[in-house]
Amino acid sequence: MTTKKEWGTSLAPLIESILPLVEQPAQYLGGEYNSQKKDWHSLKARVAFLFPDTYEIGMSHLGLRILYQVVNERDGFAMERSFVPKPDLENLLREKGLPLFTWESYLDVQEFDIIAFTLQYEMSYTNILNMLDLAGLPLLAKERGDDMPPVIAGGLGAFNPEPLTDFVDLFCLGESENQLIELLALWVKVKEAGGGKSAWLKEAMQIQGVYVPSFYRVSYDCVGNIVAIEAKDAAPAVIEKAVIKDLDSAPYPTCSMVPFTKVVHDRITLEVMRGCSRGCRFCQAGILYRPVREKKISTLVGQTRKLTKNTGYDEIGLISLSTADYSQVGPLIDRLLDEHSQNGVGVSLPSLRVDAFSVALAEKVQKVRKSGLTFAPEAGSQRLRDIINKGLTEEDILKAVGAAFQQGWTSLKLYFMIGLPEETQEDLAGMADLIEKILSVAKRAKPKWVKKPIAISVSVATFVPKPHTPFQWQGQNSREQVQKKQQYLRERLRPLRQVKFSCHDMNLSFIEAVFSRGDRRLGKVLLEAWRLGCKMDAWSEHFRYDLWLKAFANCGLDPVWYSERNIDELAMLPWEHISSGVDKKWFWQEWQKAQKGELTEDCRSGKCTGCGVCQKLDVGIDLAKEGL
Amino acid sequence: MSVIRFSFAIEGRLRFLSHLDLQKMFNMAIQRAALPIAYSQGFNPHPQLALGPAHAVGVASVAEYADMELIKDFSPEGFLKTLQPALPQGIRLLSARALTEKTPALMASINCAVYVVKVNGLEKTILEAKVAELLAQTELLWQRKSPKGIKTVDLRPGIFEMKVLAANSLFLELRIGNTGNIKPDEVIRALNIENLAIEIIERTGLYIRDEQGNKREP
Ligand code: SF4
Repeated sequence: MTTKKEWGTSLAPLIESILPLVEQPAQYLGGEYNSQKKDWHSLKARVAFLFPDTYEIGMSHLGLRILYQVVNERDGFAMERSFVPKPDLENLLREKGLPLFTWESYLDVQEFDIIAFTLQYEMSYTNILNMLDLAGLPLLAKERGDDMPPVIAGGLGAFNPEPLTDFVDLFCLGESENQLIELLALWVKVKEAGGGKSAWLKEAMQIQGVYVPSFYRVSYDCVGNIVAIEAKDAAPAVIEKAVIKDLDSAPYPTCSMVPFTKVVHDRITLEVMRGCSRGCRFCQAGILYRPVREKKISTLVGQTRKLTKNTGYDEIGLISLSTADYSQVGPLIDRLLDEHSQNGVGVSLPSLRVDAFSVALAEKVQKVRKSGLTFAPEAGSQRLRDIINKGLTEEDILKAVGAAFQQGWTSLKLYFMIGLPEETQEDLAGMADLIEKILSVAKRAKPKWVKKPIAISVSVATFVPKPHTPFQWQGQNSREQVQKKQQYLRERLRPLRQVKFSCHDMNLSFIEAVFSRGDRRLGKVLLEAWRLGCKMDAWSEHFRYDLWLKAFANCGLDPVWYSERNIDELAMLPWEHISSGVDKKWFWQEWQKAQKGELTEDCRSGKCTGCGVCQKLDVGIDLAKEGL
Repeated sequence: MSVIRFSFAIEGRLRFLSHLDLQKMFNMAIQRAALPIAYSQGFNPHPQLALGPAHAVGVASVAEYADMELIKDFSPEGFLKTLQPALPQGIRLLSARALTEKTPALMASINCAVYVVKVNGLEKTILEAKVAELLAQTELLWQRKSPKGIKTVDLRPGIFEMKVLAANSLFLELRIGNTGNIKPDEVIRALNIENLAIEIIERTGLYIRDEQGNKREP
């Protein structure tokens, strides 16, 4: 472009001229039903929400939809979306000198007041750099002037923000519905007072859950262990996450956008509760969304009524970390089916517990069309299931399998993990044994009238230690160990004709583990990896392991040190100053119990097991009651 | 029970929707509007909505047609008023009428499409000469690429009319539907003019054309 265009002018004619040249241009259109476009010049605060993956994945993300409605329903504020352009479009944009644009108005992303990312998985981090670059912004926060928009980031990944601190100005910890509005209101206030980004960042630290990394200094010893994290000026020493106390009164996107093209979750997303108190010791989401807060049935019935009317979908997905745990799940499904099934609208349960109760629920919602069932025993042996606090016996599993096949299901997906702390060869053998048992129970239970053959798919992930979990101190298995374990399982399962075995790319899990427990020094590796050409790492066809290794080598950092080391109890963690509300002491105590194979009970029944979040954040477990 | 035939325009960016996207969009809009649409019988019932001949991705239109079967009587005006608010911006309903007697399906009867193609400006006389040259041929062989491979088709019999409207716009009347599809961009490219770029194609009419060349709206 030769002439400088006026601020806030749409790039539509230019972008539309290249859309005929890309595959599936419909994914780039915006303008979906219920999407919002506001008059640019009348606005006081404009946020560009950048999802660091493609449209089909981003549009399946509930957080985006919640924040989109929360911001756009307020006068003077607007949020527009942007996603990762697929390589064909990216190349055209670069060739023509066009910037990353927002889907609603085709506006230049860097013209927005604030640029917001969501951090869903470590392997999307290079996309963040690539999107900033496409937007024409310097990647390093310190190289972006006060007149350039602040780059902020939230989502689960913000609970270990350190690898991204070179690039991101501000992180939002926890549930951002209210926090983001406060940040925008503050933006307007600071702007009206003549201030800019730096003034805003400074004041923003007063808002719950806001972390501004430039106000913290991290020092290391000669090995690379962190020795101090010091807060400067008025920065809080520890940042506590933001939490919504009452989900019933929290905003919910009942005017949800309806994509034109197929997206991963193409249905109504009804969040029935937040949090999970089962306490699986590897699970980060379970900790970060504590405590459990359920919505009332009446709230959910009302939200569903609006959602079906506003979207036209014929499927209501009941979403949470473990929907079968929702106290009133049976009555809720009955109410929803009573009201909507005559209009051809059904209910689906994406995540199920492994028990007969869950199978009964699945039977309730899938009376006619029986799609597959998914169970996640995670570990193969009882010993290891106790170590991870899965609270699940072999009897439970086999009973659930028996019930499912008896009722006509024929396909089952099983999720397991290898490389869990304390895992031995016996545990692996136990996994293979369990799969054999599952198959034979399935064969016995399957009625004669069911003609379809049994199909069991086993998906094996590699354990990635996550911050803010009892396993945060434990290293990942070496790649050699992982390879041996995968090999063993593959061989053991090969004779089983009905079982399809697959495992995650161990190189990907390895890099994921590096960033999962990474520190600030990884910023330069990220930058180098992007410079070498890494992007879309979560897509196996784009993941370039060789380039990642080169990036580490070029930066003089050892990825194995990050992924495999066991961190000492007394050592300072890179996320020491980031609090989920759960005590570090409780994590350690859980780790001790794990080693002894002791279980910790679910706290939803009323017995607090002392994780500390309720006291620290002044919230409580909130369960739905019968009939409400 | 009634069948409504309606026409609509595809405007702005929504011209990049595929036929399938459009179908999905209408099905969802019908649910939002709570129109009492009929479903097909059988194991996997389908809503009874039949769109006319597909518009190519990227082609805008002011003349798309569709038939919808409803299980209740519905006035055409009421239909338009109910459905329009449930549609995204860029899909504009134009007209609707109830089909009384048995009418042939859109796909079976529409056989002619009219397009206005905007191109980057060119000397009008050059354009006219090239168009005359093309029309003078009795055969116009064209290699059509598809995912299945390359096929040679004769475009000429499917070009009913072609004229230059202005230095940057052409009028095309082409065969469409079950008897064969001629795409406007193919015809423009067959003009064989270097540096001629298509800016936008708009479908301005879909017709039932008889052997004499008389056209009527479906
Ligand atoms: S503080 Fe107690 S009740 Fe609250 S989530 Fe933690 S363990 Fe459960």
